[in-house]
Amino acid sequence: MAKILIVDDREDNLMSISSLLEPAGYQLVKANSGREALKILLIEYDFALILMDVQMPNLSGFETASLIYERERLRHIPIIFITAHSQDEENIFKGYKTGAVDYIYKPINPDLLRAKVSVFVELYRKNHQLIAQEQKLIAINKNLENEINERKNSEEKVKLLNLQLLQNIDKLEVANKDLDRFAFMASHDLQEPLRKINVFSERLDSEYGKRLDEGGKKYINRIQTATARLQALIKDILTFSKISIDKTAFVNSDLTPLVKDVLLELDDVIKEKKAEVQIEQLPNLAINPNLMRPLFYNLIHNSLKYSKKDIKPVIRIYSETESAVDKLKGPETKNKYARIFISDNGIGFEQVFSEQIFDMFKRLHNQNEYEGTGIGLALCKKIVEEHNGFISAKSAVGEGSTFVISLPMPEVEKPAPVKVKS
Amino acid sequence: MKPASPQFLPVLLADDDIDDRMLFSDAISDLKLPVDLQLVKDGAELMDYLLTSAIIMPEILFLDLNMPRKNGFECLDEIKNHPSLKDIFIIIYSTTESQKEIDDVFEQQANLFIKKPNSFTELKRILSHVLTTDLKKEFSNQTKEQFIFQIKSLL
Repeated sequence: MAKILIVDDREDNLMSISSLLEPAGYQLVKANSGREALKILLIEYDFALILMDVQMPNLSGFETASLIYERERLRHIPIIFITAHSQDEENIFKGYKTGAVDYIYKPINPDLLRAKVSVFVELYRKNHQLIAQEQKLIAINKNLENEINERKNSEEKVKLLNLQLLQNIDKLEVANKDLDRFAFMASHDLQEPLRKINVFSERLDSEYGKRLDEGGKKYINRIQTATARLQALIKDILTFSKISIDKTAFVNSDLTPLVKDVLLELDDVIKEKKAEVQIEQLPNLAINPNLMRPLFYNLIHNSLKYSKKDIKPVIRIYSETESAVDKLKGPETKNKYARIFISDNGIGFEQVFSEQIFDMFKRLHNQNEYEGTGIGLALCKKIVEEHNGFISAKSAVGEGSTFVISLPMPEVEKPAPVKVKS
Repeated sequence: MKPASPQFLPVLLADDDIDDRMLFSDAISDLKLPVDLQLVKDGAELMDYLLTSAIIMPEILFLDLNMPRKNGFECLDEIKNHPSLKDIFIIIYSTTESQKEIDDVFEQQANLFIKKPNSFTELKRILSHVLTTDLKKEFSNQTKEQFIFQIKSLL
């Protein structure tokens, strides 16, 4: 509700103005002197309008008004002077001060008074709304500024974190390469003395074997077995370490002849085991053949090695394609994967080990039962990962195993929509 | 350069590894090959032998790559660029598996690459083949694949 201050030294004037304005619902505050008006204005500032009698004893309406307007907080309150008709008086106040002022002349025309008051009150309301809006806008602006600053700060942070991440990745890659290089050098240098052990124990056996009894011969045998095992280990570590060093470009290759080549390499074992290997048409993929060969070699060799003794080993190699959701890119990007299965009817293993078997040096069998270095499947995993694919295994004891290699397919362009010639 | 005696083939082995030198000469004496074998312990000694003290020029040089003082690559380069040494048949005799090193020595015109074998029996098989054939005839104008001596070529 708009507040109006009425200043007049005569009680009857105050009364009559009040009675004219009360019905419009204003909150009216009355002062019977300029001094009292100033007193009220010390405490209350929120007047929409002041109605001020000009002719008052001690402080005149103009003097009161100029004192009011000396105060910053009150300067916005419009004043309507009520005065006897006289141009001179108007000019007097103009000499004092300019401000939002108006004049009503006695005798008061009630309609004019109500109309003028309502105009000023309306102005006050609008002003207030504007001020409130301005304040809101300022607040919004401030929030926006804060948000922008925060965003800038977090962007900086993200940039910094990204940079650190990239640096860490670089460092990791360097460290990994160093490790591989170390493994390569170490295993290469380890081969040298091992070769000597091999050669000399062989010579000991062939040149002095006749002079040794069974016990002595057995020891030589043990040395040779251990040496062969160490050689196999070192050879596998060497191969493993060379995967990330050997950066041969990926080439589009047909996997079918490649796997057939690997089968030729394994021919001795296949014949020895009297195994049957069925191979279906495999896809064309962008691969590194130098890495793909040991991958298939190891998996097929494993199938042959862990075959059942009493039944004919059957190994099936087949493939299918599927759309898989790329875990990194999210569900929108469905990548096409070729899945290649190497399935056997061998001894199998417990499914709980299906992830561990790909760990370096993880073995499920004693060295005496099945020889091996525990590197083969770790090598397979590393090779598949170098191809941005993944490898998994399904098995149950006595039920055979199936190894699944998933490799990304080259993006096949969708057939362009048929254009109708116009 | 002709060998002093037509019965003995002058062969030189440059290897810093005492075991390999021993195995090499043992293999040759076991095989009873008509070979006059000289041994040098490193590249510097090899060049010194070839340029100053050799009475009979070797027809075949077995050259290890990784040697102190002067390595096999440097020796190979010097020999193949020396007018009176360039005709020596050079067999790189090394454990290296680095394709780059093998490519390098092929480019440097080494004549054959033999990987040090893992067994004495195999060494004897290799030597009995290599030292009893007309190398210059059998291993001339090699491709890179033929450059690496395979035991298969014995069959």
